[in-house]
Amino acid sequence: MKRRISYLLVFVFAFALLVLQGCESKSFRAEREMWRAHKAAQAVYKNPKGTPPFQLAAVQEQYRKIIKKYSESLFAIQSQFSIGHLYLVMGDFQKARDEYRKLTLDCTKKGNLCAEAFFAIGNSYELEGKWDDALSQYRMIMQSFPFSAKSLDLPLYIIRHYRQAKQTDSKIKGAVDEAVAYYTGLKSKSETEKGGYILQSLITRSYLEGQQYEDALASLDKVMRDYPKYNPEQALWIKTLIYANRLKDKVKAKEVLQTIVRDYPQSKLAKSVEALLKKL
Amino acid sequence: MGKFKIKIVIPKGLFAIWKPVTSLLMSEPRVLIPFCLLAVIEIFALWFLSCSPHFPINVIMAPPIKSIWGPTYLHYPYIYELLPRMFYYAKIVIGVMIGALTSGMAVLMVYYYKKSRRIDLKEIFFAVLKRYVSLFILAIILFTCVHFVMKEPSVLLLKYFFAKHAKLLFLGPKFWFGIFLPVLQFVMAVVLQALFVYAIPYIVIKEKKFIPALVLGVGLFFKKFLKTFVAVLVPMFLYIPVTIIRANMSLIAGMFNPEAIVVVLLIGIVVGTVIVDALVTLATTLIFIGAIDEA
Repeated sequence: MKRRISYLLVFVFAFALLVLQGCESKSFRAEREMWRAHKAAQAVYKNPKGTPPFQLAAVQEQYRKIIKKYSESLFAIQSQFSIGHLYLVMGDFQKARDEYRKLTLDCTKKGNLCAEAFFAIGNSYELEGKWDDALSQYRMIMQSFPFSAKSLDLPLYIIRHYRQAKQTDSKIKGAVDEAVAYYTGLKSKSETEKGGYILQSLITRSYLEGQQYEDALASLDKVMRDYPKYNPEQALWIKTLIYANRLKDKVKAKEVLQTIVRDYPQSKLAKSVEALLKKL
Repeated sequence: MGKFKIKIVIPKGLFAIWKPVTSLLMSEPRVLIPFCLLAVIEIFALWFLSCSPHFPINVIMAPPIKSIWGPTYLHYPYIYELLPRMFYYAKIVIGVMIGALTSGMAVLMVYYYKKSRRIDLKEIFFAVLKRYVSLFILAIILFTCVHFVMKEPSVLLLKYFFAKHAKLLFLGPKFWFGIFLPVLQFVMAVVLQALFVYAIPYIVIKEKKFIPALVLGVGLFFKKFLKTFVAVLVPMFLYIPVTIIRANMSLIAGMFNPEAIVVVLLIGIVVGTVIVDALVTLATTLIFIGAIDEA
């Protein structure tokens, strides 16, 4: 009798374990389905021209199933983007935009998501060779979602685009001016000191992207003056690099380095400063 | 139980050992029970580890995984990347805690067959359990040595080549990591296993204490060096394909599914625990019995 009871207990234990195995979480199942859909999509990305329509439709169907099954989740959003991306690599720009637009339905609540979706729409215009349409999308993002991560990056993105496209200096300068004006405008609206510091740093980066080094140095001085508690030795270090690498002014570079050594002897940058001082 | 009378002939010649091993397996497959038991426990451990992200196992497994490797490894497909590593450690723990016991049981079963004694698994289990501490210490020493041998040469080589050395003895890192290291690890694993293999029969059959068993076992290894070496080496060859597959696990996961890693590990358990370990244990136990009978 005892033996039967022990066999029964072992059986119940094994059965319970098997049942509990079914407790795989919904998000884990979604991750698995996403992985499989991404794997199928890889074949399309690798050879978009050689992809037959049925294969594209099959991959997109996988994503649509995820959207339906896990709606309101991050997986649904990623899947919607992926459907758009698939049309994009196939060169079907209008369909790609239609898919991205499905993500822009609730922009009052989901500002960051909408900014990303509109950015993808802008990208589709860019890939199609319609820069002006892309630019108007980007400007719309900057105006409509001013404090989203995407809109903070967009002015720099536009400057980089002009530089890569080897546009005239006046065009690049125009983009830099636009970026500085944009960030300055946001700075006046920013309610926190940290926000102000981040925006002033973005102004510095705009000058650096536009290769306006004197303006960048002035902006760095402003960072140190207005926001002294936010890592001023870092600003000095960037000044050194501008002097040493861009303006080729070793004397000024050494001066700034010595300021770091004198004013911030405990800085994490101490080793790098010493090494650069020896080099100079 | 024990209704077959097994006639064990003292094996002579380098490869002659496989004939009595095969006939023993054919007539009394029950000698595989301890190895199957160990394999079942290992499979359970593998299942348990692969369920780490799921409730209720995540209550136990999620905190250590998060703190050691990071929360990413609780997600698909990263958990399967981590699985071979976790299972390697689990296998060491199981090998030390339970493998020591099952090896002892298998050795004693072979001895009982040889002496035509009735085989009672329960009796054998309790007989081996009495010697558990010695077997446990032996297993710890063996696993520590194997772990050290597996890790240390690659660490030394990595240090050497990271120190901006392009070549070692006129040969580049491709040779050292691709050919030399796997061969060295394989040979060292064989030698180490062979070195300690007779300590188990000395503990469970001759009922020696740990230190004398270890000394006598090493002594017998040197006395029967070639025979022992072949008895350990030949089954280990079966494990080479598994090692090759395991080395290319990420490739297999990419070709099929990340879950394929679980299948590879399962094959590793069947080949390693049920086939290789069983053949090594049976062959060396027969050599041991032959040697003590000679004496």
